[in-house]
Amino acid sequence: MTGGLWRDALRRLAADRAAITGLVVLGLLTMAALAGPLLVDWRQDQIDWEHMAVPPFAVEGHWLGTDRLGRDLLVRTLHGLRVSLAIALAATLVALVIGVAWGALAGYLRGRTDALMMRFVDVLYALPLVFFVIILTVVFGRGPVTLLVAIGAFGWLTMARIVRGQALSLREREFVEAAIVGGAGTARIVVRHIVPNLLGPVIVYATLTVPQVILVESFLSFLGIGIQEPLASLGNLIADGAREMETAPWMLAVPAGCLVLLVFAFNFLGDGLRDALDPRDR
Amino acid sequence: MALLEIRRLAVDFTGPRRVRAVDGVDLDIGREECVAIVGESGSGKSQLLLACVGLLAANGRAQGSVRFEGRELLGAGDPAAAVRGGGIGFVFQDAGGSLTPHLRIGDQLAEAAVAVRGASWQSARADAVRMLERVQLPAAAQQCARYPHELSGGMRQRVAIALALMPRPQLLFADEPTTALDVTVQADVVALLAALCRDLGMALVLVTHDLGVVASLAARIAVMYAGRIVELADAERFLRQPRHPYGAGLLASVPTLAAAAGPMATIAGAPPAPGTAFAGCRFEPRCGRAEARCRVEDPALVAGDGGLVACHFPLDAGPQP
Amino acid sequence: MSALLELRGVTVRYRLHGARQAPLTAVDDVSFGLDAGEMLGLVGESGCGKSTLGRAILRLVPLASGEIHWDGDRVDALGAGAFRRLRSELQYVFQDPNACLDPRMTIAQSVAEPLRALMPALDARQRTQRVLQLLSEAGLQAEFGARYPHQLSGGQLQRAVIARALVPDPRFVVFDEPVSALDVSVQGQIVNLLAGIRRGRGLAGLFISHNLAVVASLCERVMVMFRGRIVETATSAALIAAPLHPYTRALLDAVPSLDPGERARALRRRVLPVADGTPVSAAGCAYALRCPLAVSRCRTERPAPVPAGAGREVACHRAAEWPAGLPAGAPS
Repeated sequence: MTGGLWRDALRRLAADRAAITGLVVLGLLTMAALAGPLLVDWRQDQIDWEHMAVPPFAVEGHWLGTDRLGRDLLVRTLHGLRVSLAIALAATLVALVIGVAWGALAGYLRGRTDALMMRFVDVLYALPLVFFVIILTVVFGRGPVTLLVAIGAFGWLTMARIVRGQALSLREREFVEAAIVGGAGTARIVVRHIVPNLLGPVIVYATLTVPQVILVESFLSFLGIGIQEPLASLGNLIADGAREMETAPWMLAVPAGCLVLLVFAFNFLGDGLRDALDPRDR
Repeated sequence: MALLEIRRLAVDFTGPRRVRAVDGVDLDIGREECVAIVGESGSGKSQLLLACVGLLAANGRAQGSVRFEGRELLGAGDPAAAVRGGGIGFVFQDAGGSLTPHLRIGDQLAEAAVAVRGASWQSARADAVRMLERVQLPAAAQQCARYPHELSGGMRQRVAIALALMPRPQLLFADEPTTALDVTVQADVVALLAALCRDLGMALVLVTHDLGVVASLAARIAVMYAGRIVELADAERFLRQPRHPYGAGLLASVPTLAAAAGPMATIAGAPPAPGTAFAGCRFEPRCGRAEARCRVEDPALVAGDGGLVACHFPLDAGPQP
Repeated sequence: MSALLELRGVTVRYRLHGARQAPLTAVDDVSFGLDAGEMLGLVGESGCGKSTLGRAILRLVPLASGEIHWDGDRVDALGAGAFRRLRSELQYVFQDPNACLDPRMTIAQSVAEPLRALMPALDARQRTQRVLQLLSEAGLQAEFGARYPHQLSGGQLQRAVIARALVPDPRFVVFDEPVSALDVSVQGQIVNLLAGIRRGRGLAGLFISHNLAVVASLCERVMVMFRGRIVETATSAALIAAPLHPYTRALLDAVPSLDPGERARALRRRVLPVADGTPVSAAGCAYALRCPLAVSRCRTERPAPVPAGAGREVACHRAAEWPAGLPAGAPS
């Protein structure tokens, strides 16, 4: 029976031009990231000794130019997009699952349990991310998985805080009290009444988390504890490009443009989803 | 010339569906006159007021004409801005919401006088105290130093009224000024509004769903239903002998002690949802007197017996005293 | 002990923000009994603790002290699990029908929810049947079951809320201002519906309202509450005809009169300055600050509820001075 609400939400989403544009752009970027590298003749770590640092459209075969080492920028950007998207989506998913469960439970139970759960969050907040990542790298070695664990371990904190705030206010709403009077237990109330009603802000925050994670990843990569050469990510491509900004601006423009496109698409989609998921049609 | 002349006022809201909240309203407010607009939620009564002072929500649009002392208030460029606060004061239902939480109430009141009348801060502060005394706030001078959250609901509503009166408007709009208040305080606020109008020579338009509030205050009563005025009459006449079946039903539904014990009077059905399309009379689906004609022909608001009524089969006027 | 529900010295305190402040006593030493099938009225202004009292009975807020007896057994000390079994007998109708239905559930889902927990023996088909039966008892056609709360009007929503409260076949329901959020023309429909349901089921209840006229049309007996204390208890008829407590008089005066002849009187009414909210000494009468009849004893000594004949009780030091009740109009 809940199908009705989801169908309504989909219909409202379909009517939202900005959200649909965001969705289409995201779809295209994802497809390009997955299938694109197969269609390009170059590998991401392959060096073209004839063409180093050529601008876009200057040489046949290197449509978006090459970097200082003569590696094809198109294929590197597509690979970077793939890595960044994967890390961002996975980290956001981790944040979503842990953060929503943790926050909803703390907010609903209130009192001492809430205080304990949120103090734990505060303690984690106080740990410097970089320090944590360095320790993880020492223990598990460098790589996308270590990065994912590190970002995921921190990403859910803000989500938990947001969700807890929402859950606290939902807890005071009369329909939750009505459910208690109706004999519903804690689990049912959290799953059926609290979580569905805080989806709106959660989804918006999740769509904001994705670009945030990409930026954190690029920052860590820039420091040399993230994704390492010759592997590409949007982060280290932008970091490289920033160094060559004056002599080879396309090296910055291509991955940065890709990131901007990604962030816009996620934000448009997030806004659209929030409006569409509100059961009141305004 | 009336102080406020509303002609063919219509208010539309755009969105997933277009909703017409006010549909062709004509109303004159005379100087120093107190008019009440009564109706249920969704009747368009609040939107009518908001449209007059250019405070509609972003997706709302007003058509028609509203003239205040002959000046047109509708049109491009927000011409109503000139009268907001100055010529026309506004008291909202939620008194707490119309006071800024982080400013002392004395400063808020003085600011209104400084901004609108160009008074000096010193004289404005003295004015604020006098106005708070006028609205019967105990220990007015000390209250000036307090913040809105330190006051009770009834006191906040008095401060909100004082705030609206600071620029000395000629016309005060009050949108459900008593609804959020306790029953024992409601009567006080109503009596206060009546006294203020009398003393300051100010006209008052009171919007409410509570006929009990209106009964003791208004000279004329306009009954709104689904965006239209369906009856407009002197308060005495209306309370004694309403002519529109909806007006009569509304009057009968007010719970009174005389009629306590036993079933309460009701109007069948529910008010139409916003955006409903009508062929005939808007009240026909709920009306006990409806006939075939009511379903197809929209009754016009016509004069008769000391008032206006929009009904094909109005209730008997009864013998005139 | 014949009462179905009995409260003895029930007190509820809220801890305020800032732990240093003294807790706020929302319900202060309230005792009353309620017979099977009786609808008891509870009037007072917002913030007087009447909703808190209703919530305390249903254990939505904890008691600071006092006892609640249901059907002869003490229930306030029961564990959460044991109390949940009682939930099918005690139900609650909330004030704002817009807020007390989950916006993401259909009406039928909301109405069916108590059945899952409180009548686990029913299968899905029986549940559906029961929901439809209750919707129809509350005056809603079956098609409303598939709709969402935002698609219904206020009156229809309140019918759905009433159906949900009745679905586990309770013997006692708290009606917390069930009509005050509704349009005037619809209020009467809901009050009359409740009167019919009550007669049909022999339902007992606590009907909370700020409007004495509404309470009087539904309840034989009414309690008047002020700042957490019951100040007067009497039959509706006696309360209206001859109020003994000055606060009851003020409440009666606040019920609007539509008689054009009384307009002039109301307009001449002296505008009383509002009480400035100074807390009264806990030892005194809570109403002393606003009471035009207060004497010095009222400020220092708290009046206890005393019998005033014919099942009446009043908590006022001076009530004996006006055995025939206080006359209308502001007493001086």
